[in-house]
Amino acid sequence: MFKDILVPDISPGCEHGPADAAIALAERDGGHVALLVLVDVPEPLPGQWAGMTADVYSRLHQEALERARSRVNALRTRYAQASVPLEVRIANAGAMYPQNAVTVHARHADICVTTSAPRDRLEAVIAHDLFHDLLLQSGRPVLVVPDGAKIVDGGRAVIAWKPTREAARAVHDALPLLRHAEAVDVVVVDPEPDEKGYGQDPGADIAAHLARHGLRVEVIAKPRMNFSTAYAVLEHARTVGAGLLVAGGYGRSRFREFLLGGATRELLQGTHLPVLFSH
Amino acid sequence: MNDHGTRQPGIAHHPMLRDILLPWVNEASGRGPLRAARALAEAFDAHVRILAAVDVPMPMPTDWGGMSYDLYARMHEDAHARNAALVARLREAHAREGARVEVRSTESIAMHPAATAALHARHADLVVVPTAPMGDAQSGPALSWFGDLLIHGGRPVLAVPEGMNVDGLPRRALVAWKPTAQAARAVHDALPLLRDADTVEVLAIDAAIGGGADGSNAYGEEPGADIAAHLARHGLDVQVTTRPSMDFSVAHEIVKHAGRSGAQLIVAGGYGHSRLREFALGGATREFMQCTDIPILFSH
Repeated sequence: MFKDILVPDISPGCEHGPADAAIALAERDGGHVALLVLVDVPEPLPGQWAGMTADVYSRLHQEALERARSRVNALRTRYAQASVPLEVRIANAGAMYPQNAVTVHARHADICVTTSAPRDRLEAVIAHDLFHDLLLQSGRPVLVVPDGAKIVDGGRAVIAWKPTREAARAVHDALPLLRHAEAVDVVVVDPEPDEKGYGQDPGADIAAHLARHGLRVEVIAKPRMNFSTAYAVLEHARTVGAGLLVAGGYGRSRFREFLLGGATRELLQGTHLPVLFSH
Repeated sequence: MNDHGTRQPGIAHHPMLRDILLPWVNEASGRGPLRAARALAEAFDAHVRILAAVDVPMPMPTDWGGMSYDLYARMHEDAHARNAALVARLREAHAREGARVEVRSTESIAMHPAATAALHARHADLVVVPTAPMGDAQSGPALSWFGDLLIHGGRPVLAVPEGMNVDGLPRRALVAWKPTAQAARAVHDALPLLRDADTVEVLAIDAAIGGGADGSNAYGEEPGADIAAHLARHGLDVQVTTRPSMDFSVAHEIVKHAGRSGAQLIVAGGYGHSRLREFALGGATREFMQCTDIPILFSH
């Protein structure tokens, strides 16, 4: 059950998708939503040409604090009539990097809801950094809600299944969401029956396990063709009109993804529907 | 009850265990974990899968020549016969439980049986293994199975001492809290097991206020308070204790504290990392496995 849902407010004025999705989740389970606004002031680093004066630094801090406060007020006004208990939290990142400060808060939430990182936007860099650190360091699942996407009741959920620990975690972390789906597709892309991975009947074991959790499950094998695994999964989700995708994230490190390309980044940047990732 | 939605939160939606995996690590320490797995299966109406591995050592060629094919074939036959006997005995012992307990034989070619068990773990909710008491002849293998399952399984691992007679869910539990991804995961993975707990104690040892730039060691202004508030939202009765580790190691301190407070379960982050195909367990995690006299739930 999602009793505590954290939404880091990272791109002011730009989207309310994650907050609205968080409210939809909280409505289901009687949960609580926290919107987190950070006060982030760059470290006063002493340079060769001497650092900042205390006066300038304190003004920087003052301005950041005022910006954050006005953001908090705007959010409080916007969500004053929210249908669930909703708190707008302000936190000082202090000596921490902002994405790490968010991670600290995420550890005592059930799930963190954040925005996706579309390739063509400046905020994508911030969103991607935050996503990466949250996923690897919070120990909690991250629900990515792209612009325009919503949490839907019923409908079909798609699991991008691979025999990895990350996918196993994602499936289990997603159970509270999967319960609301009418049907669940376990999608395996070009699986090779193998005793060291997929097993004799790829997807069958995880499907049987999910069926024991009361879900209606179907296993679907897809060819990668000339595209990537992420593309094959997203294409299936689009075809069946799925409302949720579930996937393991960063089974290989971000650095290796950067060099070799990777499914996590492709899903993050290419998704049109909410994706739950776990690491 | 619920002012904020149409669905009624409650027992029906409490996190559930449906599939419990019990790898048969060895004969001497199997009973404690088995009793625990059966008690949990009963509490959740879940299914237990006991994995009995056929363990045939790899035929390694050496400088002095390898094994003859004939000898290897005989070892293979022996291992199969032993495994068949174990499976038959476990099946007979559980005949009365019908479909609730399944005994499955696995054979892995060119793969350690624990690595095979880790593959099975991925479609279970929980894995139950023995602890590794200091000085016990079976401790080495038990630690090795535990490490493989913890690091590669992706599922929480409940380590149960051999002598322990778990007969239901804990009434009192201790959360060994640290601001890490592993501890956060353990707390959340433990929620099904905390269903019947009257009290959950959050214990933070040597908690420093503040933290590093990367979010490490960030206990917050009031160590343990945030995670306690979160658990309270899940309907649990929580108390927070902070204390120094004194002269003992942190793991010993926590186990001793659990003993004094009457806790029946410890929940802790399990630390370790993969080194090529091997793994290295964190020091405190290893010590927990060696010194505990009550079950510990670890997540990685």
